Amino acid sequence: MRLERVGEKEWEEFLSGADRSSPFHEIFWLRALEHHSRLKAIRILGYRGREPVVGLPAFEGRKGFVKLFLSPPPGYSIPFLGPVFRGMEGVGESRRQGVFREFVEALRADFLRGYWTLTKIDLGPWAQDVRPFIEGRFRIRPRYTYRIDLRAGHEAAWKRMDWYVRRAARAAAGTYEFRPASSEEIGWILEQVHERYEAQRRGVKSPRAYVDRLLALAPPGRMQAYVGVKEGDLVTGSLCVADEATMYLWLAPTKRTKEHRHANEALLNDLLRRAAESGYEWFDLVGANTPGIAHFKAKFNPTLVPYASVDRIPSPGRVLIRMQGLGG
Amino acid sequence: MQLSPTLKTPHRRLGALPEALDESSRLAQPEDWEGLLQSCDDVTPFHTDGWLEAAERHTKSAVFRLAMLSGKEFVGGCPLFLTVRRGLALLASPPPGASAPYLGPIWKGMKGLKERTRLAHLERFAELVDRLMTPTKSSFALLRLPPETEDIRPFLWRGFGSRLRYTYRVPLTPPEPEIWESFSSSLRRRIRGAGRHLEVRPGTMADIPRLFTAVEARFKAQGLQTVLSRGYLEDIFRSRPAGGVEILVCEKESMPVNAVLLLKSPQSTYSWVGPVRPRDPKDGSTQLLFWNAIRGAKREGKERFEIIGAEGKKLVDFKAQFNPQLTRFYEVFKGRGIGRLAALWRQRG
Repeated sequence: MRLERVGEKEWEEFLSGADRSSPFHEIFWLRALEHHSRLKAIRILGYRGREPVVGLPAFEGRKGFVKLFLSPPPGYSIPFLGPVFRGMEGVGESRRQGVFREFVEALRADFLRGYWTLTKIDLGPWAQDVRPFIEGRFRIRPRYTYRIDLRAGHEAAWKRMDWYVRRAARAAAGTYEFRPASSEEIGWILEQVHERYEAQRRGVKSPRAYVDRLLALAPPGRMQAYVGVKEGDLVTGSLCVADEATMYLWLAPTKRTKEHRHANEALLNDLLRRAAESGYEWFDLVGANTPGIAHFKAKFNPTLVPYASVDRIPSPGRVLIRMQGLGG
Repeated sequence: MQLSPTLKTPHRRLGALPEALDESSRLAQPEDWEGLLQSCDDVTPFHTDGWLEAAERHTKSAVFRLAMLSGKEFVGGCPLFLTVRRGLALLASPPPGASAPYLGPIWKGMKGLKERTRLAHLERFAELVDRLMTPTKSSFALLRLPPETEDIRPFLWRGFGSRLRYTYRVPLTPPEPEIWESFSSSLRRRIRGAGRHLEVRPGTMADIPRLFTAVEARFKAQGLQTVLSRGYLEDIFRSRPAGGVEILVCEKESMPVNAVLLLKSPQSTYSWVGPVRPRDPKDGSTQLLFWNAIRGAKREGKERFEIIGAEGKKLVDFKAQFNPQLTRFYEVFKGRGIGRLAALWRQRG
């Protein structure tokens, strides 16, 4: 397979015909990541004949003598990135596995050579076949997210939820107001989320400037922020991102407090209602990998969606990872 | 220390599973096990008593049938084997050397449960396995979970390592002509050609020695050693694990050229041993055997046909021609003491 680095225009063209992708693959997001990570964003297309069939956005750079190849760069709250495919849905298994193996082999030959190349790729839920990476002696880490099916509407999703969530939502009705957030309120959401991450000792950056850049660059409707308010006080909030079919709970929930311990559940239920009314088919709860978060999200009776992260890190590079907080 | 009556020699390193672990689990007696299985979903032939006892004999291990409860209600079961390998006391499911792709837990009504309850059951199971390493004096726990148990987070949260594995499943819901058309064109050509000069017949116990010899020779030709034995295959065939076992033999001018041993569950047929690469690699006998097995499974109302194993480039290129669904399953493992080295080694692959 022939791999080529392409410009933004070719990437957008490819993405417009991709079988499945995410907002994180879009140009506006890649630009924001490039700016804040200080790594170089590259867009790779794999061609079979004249047709591109696989695309991979990645970020290249160096830390000392270690070469970096990351998709995505860690610490920016990107749950997954990795390859996207075109024209692979509905094809036979023989062709599908052959195409992906060719792509990974070409990627390893052209971009990932050398012992001192640190590679980390978080594959999206549609890229379930990681065998070419296993054969390449990559470490495979299972990852999970939760998704809620909204195709039958909010009412159907409501009936599937735990009684605890339904009780929280009923108790919240008339107590809290849920509405779109102002720019200032987005800052409050970020502070709350960062405090929670710090309490959980998670090395996530997502600085205000990064989020502001995303908000400025995103096409209309891609970034949506909501807050829950009681008697004028901000109580909870979240920042969501969306593509045509799916809304993602990107940064949330905010810290739980004793006084408003059901507010997060109530907000999430409100988001589901809004998403269903807006015609989104799926609501991705973005991440189900840590016990506390997983237990919270499980109350909404979502579907568990597995995916994988692959990496190959030279041994001294592991020290570098810890020193530089690249673990993600 | 307790000794398993099935182990020929005692081993001072082995402990045993206690009869009653806590209020949420106990050991099931063999005579109760088949009854419990009937209430579970997605039971494989490897979970049946016939297979467990044969595997126990041939892998020199002791099997225990763990039943998991919620209150007084049975929610799932898991066969666990105790054995010693390379000096390490091992808690495993399946045992090494049994040639089972996976084993691990089976569950009652899991698909209909809410996510919070489902996760709670899995967390309980992972905790049990982790705790059982102590009374069994196991240095290493190794479970290959069935594809239906793809949520391994509770194991990861308890510090288990993991490896991702793959198998192939041919869905049998579509009509037979549609299944046929979904195969690659080269495969269909090969099967049609093979059908003109080869025949497939049901096999008997008498065909097992030839099948075993062919498998052994094939492994040897690749510089490997098979874990199977002729006695093991005969034991399995004789015990007829509930659901069935069948041999198909491919003949050319009444002379056997290839064979496959199939295991069956209510939902699936599995190609467990064979077919092997025939003397004439272009004769199409392997392809013809698979096609006959798939048609047979379809006729019997199975939901799928499993072509066990989807790893290794050459083999997967061949198997992928049947347009199967790539299916994931996980191996989880944990070491204690000296077993930590084994866990590190296993994680590195």
